[in-house]
Amino acid sequence: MSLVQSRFIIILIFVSVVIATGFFSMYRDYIKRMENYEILTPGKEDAIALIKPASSSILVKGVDESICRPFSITFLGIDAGSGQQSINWLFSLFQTPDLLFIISTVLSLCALFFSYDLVSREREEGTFKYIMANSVSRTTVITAKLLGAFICFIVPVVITMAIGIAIIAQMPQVLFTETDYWGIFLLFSSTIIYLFIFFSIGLLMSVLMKRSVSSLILSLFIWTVLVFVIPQLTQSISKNLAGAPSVAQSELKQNLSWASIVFERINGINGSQRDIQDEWEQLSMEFTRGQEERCSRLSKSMFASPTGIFTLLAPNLMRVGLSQEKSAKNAVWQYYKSVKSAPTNSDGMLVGNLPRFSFDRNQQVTIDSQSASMALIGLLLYLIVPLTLSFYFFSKYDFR
Amino acid sequence: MNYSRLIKEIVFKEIITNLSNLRFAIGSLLIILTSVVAVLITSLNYQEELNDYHQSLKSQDEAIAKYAHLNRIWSFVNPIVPPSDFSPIVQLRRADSSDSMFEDNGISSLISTLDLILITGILLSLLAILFSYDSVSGEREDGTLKLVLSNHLPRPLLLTGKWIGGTLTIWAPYLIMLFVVAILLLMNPTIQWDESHWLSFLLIGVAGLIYLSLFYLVGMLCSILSRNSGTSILISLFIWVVFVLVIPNTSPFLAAQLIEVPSVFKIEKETRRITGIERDNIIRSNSKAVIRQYDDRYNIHAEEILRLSQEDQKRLITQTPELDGIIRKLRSELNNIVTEANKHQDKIAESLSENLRLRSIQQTKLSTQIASLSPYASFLFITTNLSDNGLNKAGNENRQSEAYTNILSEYLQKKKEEAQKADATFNENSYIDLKDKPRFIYQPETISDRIKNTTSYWGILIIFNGVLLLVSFIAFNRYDIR
Repeated sequence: MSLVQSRFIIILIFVSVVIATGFFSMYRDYIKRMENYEILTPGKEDAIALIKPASSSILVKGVDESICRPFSITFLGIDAGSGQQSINWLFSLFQTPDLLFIISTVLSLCALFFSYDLVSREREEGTFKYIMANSVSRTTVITAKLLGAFICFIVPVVITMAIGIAIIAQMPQVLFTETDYWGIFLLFSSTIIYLFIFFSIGLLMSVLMKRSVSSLILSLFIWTVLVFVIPQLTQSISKNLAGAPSVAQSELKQNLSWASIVFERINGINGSQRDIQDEWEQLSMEFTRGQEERCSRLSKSMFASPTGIFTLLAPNLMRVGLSQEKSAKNAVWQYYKSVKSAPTNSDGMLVGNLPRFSFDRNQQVTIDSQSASMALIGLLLYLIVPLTLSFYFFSKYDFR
Repeated sequence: MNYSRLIKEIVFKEIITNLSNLRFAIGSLLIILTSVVAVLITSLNYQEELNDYHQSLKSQDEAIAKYAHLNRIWSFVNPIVPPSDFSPIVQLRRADSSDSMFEDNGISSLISTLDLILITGILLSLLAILFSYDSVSGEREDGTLKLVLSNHLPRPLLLTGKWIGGTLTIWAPYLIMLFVVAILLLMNPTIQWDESHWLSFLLIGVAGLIYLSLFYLVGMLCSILSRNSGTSILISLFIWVVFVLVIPNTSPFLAAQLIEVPSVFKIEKETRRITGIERDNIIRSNSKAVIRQYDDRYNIHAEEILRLSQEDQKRLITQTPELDGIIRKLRSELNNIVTEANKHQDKIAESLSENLRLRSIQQTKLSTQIASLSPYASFLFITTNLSDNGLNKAGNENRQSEAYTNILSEYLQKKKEEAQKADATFNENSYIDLKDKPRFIYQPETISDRIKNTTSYWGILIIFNGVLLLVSFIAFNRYDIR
């Protein structure tokens, strides 16, 4: 039934075009970042910690831009270089068109398009009466309709995504490891669950509303609230509640700290007990604590909507999420500890025979399985609600 | 026949139909509730930002009072930019800092925060489409279109009436929202807006009106072009997705493909080398030559004298008073060497970063042009520019910081000369009193400049409106009402 509709073709073409555009942009972006990485790869004399961009960031960018910044170790602590995107304001104005964005906003909308009239349209056309005149139970009818329509939607989507990934995997400079494929598998599974949630919401509306059009409108409202309003509001709230000093203030404190210590030392004040690196470490840890508090609060409050859950889950599965950034930074921190006492040149850079920073993303960065499973459970719970409600209301549905 | 009376009636009827609709009630309620919550939260955030700003100023002043010295002076007097007055309605769309801190994570790049602009740009535009997708096809399906047009009613007149009536209905919740937000802003004691602020607010409001009418027209056109409402809404939603989500988001990536920008970090590193080690080497070798000259001429060990602590130097000068003049002269020559070297190296570094800057500007410009194909982006450019949170903000801040730096450099030079006159042993590492230093005061762009910057985007929105309206009229004239 669904296959012959014009809507099916339109949506399919649209989805393919969007996914292709997204993959192309993200692949080229990755190549750019790889080029930059090659240029920046530190020489023997530099104390710079640099992490290679992850191939999986083509699919979901997450915070990879932040992970792959060059971190220079100086006598003042760790200094992060600007990312390449800092030069163009529009990068921060708009969202990244990666798979996460496409799935969480565009595809969830498409899922609604497939299901908003599953029940109400058959009622409008009067075909329901004929179906129910046979001795088929209502549960069977709705299950069959639901699965049939959902498969029609999800199979082409999954195939398009899989083809895209297969093409990207063949590209030069791209290397997906076993862990990546495992992550991609989990990403596909969670995508199916996530889209099924929106599909069921459409179904529920189509059961509740007498007319298809009202069903679509209500579904759209719910979509807007779940996809835009709740996640963005929680982000605003978490920003407010954290109460931690801002980036600007912490940066200022770090600057004031080292300059005053140097002053004290030169002029022999206070017996010069203060140490530049110690104080930097303290300030840094204090600030990091605030950030982490905000992150954990945000991760919790993101459970308020399926899109929030998915937004944190997808980067985690592609190992470019917040917890992966934390482990990458830990590695940088360890490296800093190992070289911090080296002598410095007049530029403040550490010199001498320094150990090189080595970091193997595949070995050292793992999927945060605890939060991933929590997220999957959360998504499943979100799925159960509209699904059970649809079944319940369908059993009382009036076909006239 | 009296056309103006007719049109009034059509408009009236259109408004009544829309108002009595379920989608109007739900939509308006949703929008107004969301905007109230969003503005309350962003106002709280603004308060936090203000506190943070004052805290920063305070710690800076305290440090200056205790530790100010010329050598590392720029760590003490870095200008601090206050939060934007507009942040309760338009959030700054930039990472907290420009990513230059190790501890800063990418959390803000994952999800954006909700403000009035996003509510208008995304939620209300969607609502506009929901109001209009069946304005024509719905009437055809109900059969009322046939009845209406069987009278002596010109088609353009009917469409005009429908357009005006429909646009007014989508404007209603938007205007209510603006009104409620304005009251919230007025009631908040931390928000002190003057006329120019309210003028910006008003213009942002007007931009929203034009923007919403545009999306109403998109829906109306789709409802004329497609036979039934089901297809109409699908097509209009696709257009919405392309305009609001696809074009803007891909634009910077596309522009980055077309205009390459050299590696930012590499240039930063190179600049640091040129103005750091290389400069120090030049200073060192030149200073050595001068010191040797002095050693030969006056038969002293200038380097050792300079290395002595300030107290020891003072003692030395009281023992041999003629040293006072010599040291002063030597110091001023050494100072000149430093200034010259700085000037020279800064020039080299500048030419390096100039290329980067030009390239970045080109890339940003191209991505802005690509993004302007979407009315959503144009709307964002108008609102962010009007609220001094836009494309020019960073450049404006930099310019003002630079101007301040120049003023401060002059001031410091004067201070230094005064201090040296009073005390021959004064050097770059001695404490310097900067209590009367000029303060950095951030000046937002003037309202007329802000308006000027947005003219092209207003043009784009209006042209979009005009084209859509024209196509709608043409299409409706040939419309088959059966």
